[in-house]
Amino acid sequence: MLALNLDMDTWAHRVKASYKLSALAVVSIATFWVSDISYFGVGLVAICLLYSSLGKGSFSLGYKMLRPIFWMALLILAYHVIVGEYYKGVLICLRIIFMLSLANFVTMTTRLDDMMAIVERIAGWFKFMGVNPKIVAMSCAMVIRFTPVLALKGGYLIDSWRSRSLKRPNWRLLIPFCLMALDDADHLAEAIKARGGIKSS
Amino acid sequence: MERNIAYIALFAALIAALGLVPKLDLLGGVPITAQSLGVMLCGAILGARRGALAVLLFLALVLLGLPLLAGGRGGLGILSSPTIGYLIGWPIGAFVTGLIVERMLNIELFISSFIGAIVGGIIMVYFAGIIGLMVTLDKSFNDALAINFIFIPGDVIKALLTAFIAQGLYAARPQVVLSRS
Repeated sequence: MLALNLDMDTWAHRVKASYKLSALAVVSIATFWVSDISYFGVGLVAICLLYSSLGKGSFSLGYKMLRPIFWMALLILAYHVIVGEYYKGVLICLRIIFMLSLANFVTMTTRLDDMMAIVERIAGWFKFMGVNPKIVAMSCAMVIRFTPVLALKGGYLIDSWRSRSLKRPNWRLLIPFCLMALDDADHLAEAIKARGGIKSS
Repeated sequence: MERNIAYIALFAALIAALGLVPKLDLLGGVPITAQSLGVMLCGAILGARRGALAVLLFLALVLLGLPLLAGGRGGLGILSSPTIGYLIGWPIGAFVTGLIVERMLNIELFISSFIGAIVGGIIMVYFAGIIGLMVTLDKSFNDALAINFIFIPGDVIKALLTAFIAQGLYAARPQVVLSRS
């Protein structure tokens, strides 16, 4: 699986995840009040400096993460050019690219374990609503574990379809695919129960 | 308890896997990303609460930095992307889809899940998506609404497929369709 995390140890990796997330939240909210292109120009230069301080590989990963949004930004720009709002179009595109590359910077430099710890802490705030942070963390781990399993089994289903049919695999495969996921869920539940189960409180 | 958690986790993984498997031809050779279909399925099969929780769990992992959205997208950046409204709409859509399927017990599952997927998976999701576009792109409601029209045919097909799949699962193994049990 493609990782969105930069597998290095840089200064930014060592900054506490909670500081990075708070800073990101403050900056992201603040950008909505900025309506001057020059500020975003300065911001983007600052982001380039941030990325380059990470060393090799950071720009290529950053570009990979931004690529889907470039097309969207071009479309948005084209729309604004057609309706004649040049300044607004450039402003919106710069704002999106600025906020995304900053957020991606935090994602790139924060390990999954640290993020998980934050999730567990936030889930703890909702204890009064009956949320159990342990169950949240365990569910996340199960999804991470089972996504490649399901993708692999989906691939097997497509292979077996191809071995029997000249037609391209179509949506009909989704029924056995869902059944497979549901069966796996039943097995998983039995296995958890057999190992002592989950205590709800 | 264990069963509910396992179902929620596996369906979150299913949405993720639908973004990873090579694209399936949905109808007439038009490849469509299947993830929003996964959202409709969550509601129609798991029911309102579990369906919404499965989608929330999936989105939480995307935010944490796993590249699980179709096209390998993920990370905190999606929060500032113009399409964030649709993602916020997903759990709401799954909830409404599930609610409709749970409530319309005396009509056929095919019809109730089709209606559920249209109201939950399309109307609710588009509504949240339009608000997202209005905020991020500074658009009026009508402008934002217009952007959505090209996606309607594909999503109606997905709603139809949701109905076919829910019905197929119900025929194969009635007890697995939790929204009906």
